[in-house]
Amino acid sequence: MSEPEVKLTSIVLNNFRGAKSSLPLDLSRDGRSCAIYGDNGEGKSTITQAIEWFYKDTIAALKGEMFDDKDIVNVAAQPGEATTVGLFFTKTDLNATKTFEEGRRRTTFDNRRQGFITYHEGDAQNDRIYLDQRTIANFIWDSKGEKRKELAKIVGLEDIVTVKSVISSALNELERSPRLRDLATRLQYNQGQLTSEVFGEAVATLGGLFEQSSKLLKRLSIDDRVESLEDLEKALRKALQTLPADKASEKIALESIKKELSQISDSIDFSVDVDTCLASYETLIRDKEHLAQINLYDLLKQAEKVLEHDHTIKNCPLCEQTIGSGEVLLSSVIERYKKLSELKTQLQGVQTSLQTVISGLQSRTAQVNTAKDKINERKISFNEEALKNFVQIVEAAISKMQEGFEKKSTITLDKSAITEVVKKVKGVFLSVVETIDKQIARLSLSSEEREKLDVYNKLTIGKNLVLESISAAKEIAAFRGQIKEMSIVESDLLQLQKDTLQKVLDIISDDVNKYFHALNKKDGLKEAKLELVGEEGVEFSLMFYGSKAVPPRKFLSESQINSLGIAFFLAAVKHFNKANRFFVLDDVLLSFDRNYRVRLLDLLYAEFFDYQIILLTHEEYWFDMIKKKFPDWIFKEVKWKYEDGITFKDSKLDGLDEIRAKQARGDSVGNDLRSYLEGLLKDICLSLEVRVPFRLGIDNERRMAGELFPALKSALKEHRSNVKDVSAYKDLEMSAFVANIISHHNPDMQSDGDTAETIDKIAKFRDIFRCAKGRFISRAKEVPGKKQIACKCGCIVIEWA
Amino acid sequence: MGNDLKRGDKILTDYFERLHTDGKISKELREKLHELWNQNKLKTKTHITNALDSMREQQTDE
Repeated sequence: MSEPEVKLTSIVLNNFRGAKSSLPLDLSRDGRSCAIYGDNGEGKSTITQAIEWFYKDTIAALKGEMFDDKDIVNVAAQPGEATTVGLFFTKTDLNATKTFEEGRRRTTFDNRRQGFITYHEGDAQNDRIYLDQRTIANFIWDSKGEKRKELAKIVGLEDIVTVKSVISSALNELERSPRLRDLATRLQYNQGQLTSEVFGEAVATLGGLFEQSSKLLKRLSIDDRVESLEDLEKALRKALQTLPADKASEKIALESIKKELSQISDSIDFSVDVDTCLASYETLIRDKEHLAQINLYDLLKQAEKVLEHDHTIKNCPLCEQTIGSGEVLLSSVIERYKKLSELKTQLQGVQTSLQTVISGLQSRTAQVNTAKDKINERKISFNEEALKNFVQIVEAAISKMQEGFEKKSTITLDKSAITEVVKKVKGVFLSVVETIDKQIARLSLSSEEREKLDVYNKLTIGKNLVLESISAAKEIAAFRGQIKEMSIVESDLLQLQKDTLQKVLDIISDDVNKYFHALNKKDGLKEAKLELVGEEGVEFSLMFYGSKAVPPRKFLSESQINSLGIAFFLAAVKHFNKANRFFVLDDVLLSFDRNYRVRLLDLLYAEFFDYQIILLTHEEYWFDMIKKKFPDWIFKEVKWKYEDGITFKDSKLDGLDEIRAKQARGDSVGNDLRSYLEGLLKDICLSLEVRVPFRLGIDNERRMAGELFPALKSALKEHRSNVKDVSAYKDLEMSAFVANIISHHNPDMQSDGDTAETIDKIAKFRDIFRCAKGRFISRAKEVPGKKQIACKCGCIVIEWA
Repeated sequence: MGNDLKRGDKILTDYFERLHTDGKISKELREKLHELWNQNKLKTKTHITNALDSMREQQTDE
C-alpha cells in the first residue's frame, strides 16, 4: 500500500467564516508545519472549518436547526462577493478552490480533473485530518455502538456498518411485518372454519379441495369429477342451477353479513394491545423529572455549539454559577446531550407502538361503522346506540392517548367502560346474527332446498377459504424464505464487520497504548486499547493499577481522558490515512499541565516528524514551547476584527528580534532582556545538563540569570570546554549588563547605545549554543571519536571533555 | 505508515461477488443484492425493502 504523501503548500480563504476578502496562509512549497496562536474568538478554528468544509461539504459545529448553509459566509461580506476555500498541495495537480454559490445554495470546484475527483471523493474523504476538542469529547462520551460507527468511519469501514444496518433493518421489518401477522391469523382462521363449518377437516391444498368438493357435489347428485379449478367452477354453476334462485341469493347475502359480523366480533377486544403498549409507556414516564429534561435537548444541542466557539466562558450563561472553564462545561453538556439522545430514542419507540395501537383502534371503529350501515341496509332492527357508543368510547380513548403522550402524562383509560362497550357490541352482533338466522329460516326453504343451499354454500365458502389459505401459505412461505436468507446475509455481514473491526483494533491498539503511555508516564496505566464489546460495540479499555477500567472515563482524570482521545486520533492518522500527510490539531489541550504539553510535543517529534502538522492554540506559553521544540516550523499569530476579518502576522522565532524592534521604537527593554537571557540560560543549562542546587517544585523554575550564569560557567570549566575562551562568551560575561544582573542591579540604567550593544552580545552568546535551525547543543549529542558535543542536526559543536 | 486493510466498499464488493456466485441463498436474492450494491443502492432501506416486496409478490403470483 502506498504511503500518504499529500501536504498543503497554502490555504487561501475568501469571505469564509471569520476570513474577509482574501486570507492566504502560506505553508511553503515543501509543505511545512505551522503553529498558529490566537486568543479564543480570534478565528483560529476558521482554518479547521475551511479544511472540513473543503472535504466534507459540511461543518459539524454548524449542524443543527439553527444553522444554515450560508452561515459559512463571512458576516461582513458584500452581496455578490464569492465565498471560497482554496487548498494548494505539494501535488499541484490536486490544487483546487471550492466556491459556495449562495444564490443557488451549491458548491463547485474549479478543478475537474479525474485525479482530483478520485483524490477528493476517494481516500482523502476518509482521511482523519483534524482534531478539535469537540471531536475528542464526542468520541469519549459516545456510546459503544456510536464508537463502533465512528471508528468505522475513521478507517473507511462505514459502508460495512451502514449496509449491515440496512440489512438488519430490512430483516427486522420482514419479521415484524403486520402483513405476515395478518396472513398467519387468516390462515389459522380459515383452517378453523374449514374444520368446523365446511369440510370437517383442515384443507390446505388444491387436491384436498377437489376431493372434498367432489364428495359434497355427490350430495347434490352431481357426479362430476373435480380435478381442476375449472372443473370446480363448472360443477358450482351446475349446483347453482339446482337451487331456487331468489331464495339462494338472499341466503348467500345474509350468510355473508353473518360471517363479517363474527369476524369483527372475534377481533373487537383491544384491551390487551392497549395494556401492553401503555405498560411500556408508563415505565418510561415514571421518572417525570428525568423525562422533563428531554425539553433541554435542543437547548443543550445549541449550548454545545455556543461553547464550542467560546471557551472563555467562566460562568454558566443560564444560572450564572462559576463553572471553572468552558471546556469543562462543554464536556458536561455533551455528556448530558448524549444521555438525552438515548432517552429520546426510547420515547420515539414508545410513540411508534402507540401509533400502531391507535391505527388498530381506528380500523376497528371503521369496521363497526361499516357493519352498522350494512345491518341498516338489511333493515334489521338493532341497538344502534351501542355501536355509536363503542365508536365514541374508542375515539375518546384515542384522544386520551394522543393528549397524554403529548404532555407525557399518565394515560388512564376507563377499562370497565371499555369492557362493557365491547361486550355490548358483541351482544348486538349476536342478536343481529340471530335475526339473520330467523330471516334465513323465513325464506321457507324446504329441507331439500336447505340441504342443497347448505352444500352449495359449503362448496363456495370452502373454495374461497382454501384458495385464500393456499395463497396465504404461499406468501407466508415467501416471507419465511426471505427471513431465513436475509438472516444469513445479516449474519455474514455481522461477521465481516466483527472480523474487519477486530483487524482494525489489532492494528491500532498497539499505537493507542504507545501514544497514551507517552502522554501519561504513569506505571499504573497500562494496556490502553479499543476492544469489541458485545455484538456490535467498541469501547476503550485500560488497566488502571491492576484493575480493568471499562470505560476508562470511570477512573481517569480529564487530562488523561483527553490524552486517550488524542492517542486514538494520532494512531488513526498513522495507520489509516491513505492520501494526506498532514493533520490539524485545533486547541486540543484540555486541563493539560506542562509535562503533558512537553510529552505531546515529544510524541509529535518522535512519531510524526515527517507529517505536516497545523497546530492551533490559544495558549501563549505552549506556543513558545512549540517554537523552541520545532524551530523550523512556520509561526503565525491570528487576530480578528469585524471590518478586516482574520489577519495573520508572522510570529518571530526568537524574542530578541522583538526586543530589538521595541528598543528601536524607544521603549525601555531592560526587563525584557533580563527575561530573555534567563529563558536562554535555562534552555542552555537544560540542554547541557548543568548542575544547580536542588529545589522543590515551582522554585526550580524560578532560577534567575544571576544563578544560572555562574552554574554554566562552572560546567564549562568542569568539562574543559573551549566556550569560556570564545570572545562572544567572554564579551557577555564581562558586560555591565550581566554584572548588574548578577549583583541584582536594575539593568534599565544603561544608555540606548549600551542596550543595543548588549542585544548584540546576547545574540552572539546565544549563537554559540544554538544553531540556525534553533536547536541547542545537547549533552546527549556526543560527536563520535571526539571530545565534542553538537546540536541535534550537527551543524555546531563545542569542546566537551 | 499504512496497512494492508482494505476499505469497507472493497470488502463489501468482494462479499457481494462471493455471495453472487455461491449457493448460500436463492438466485433471485443474491442477484438483487449484487445489483443493488453495484448501483450504490444498499445504503438505505428503501430499495432492498421494495425489492423484497416485489420478489414475494412474484413468488406468490407464480
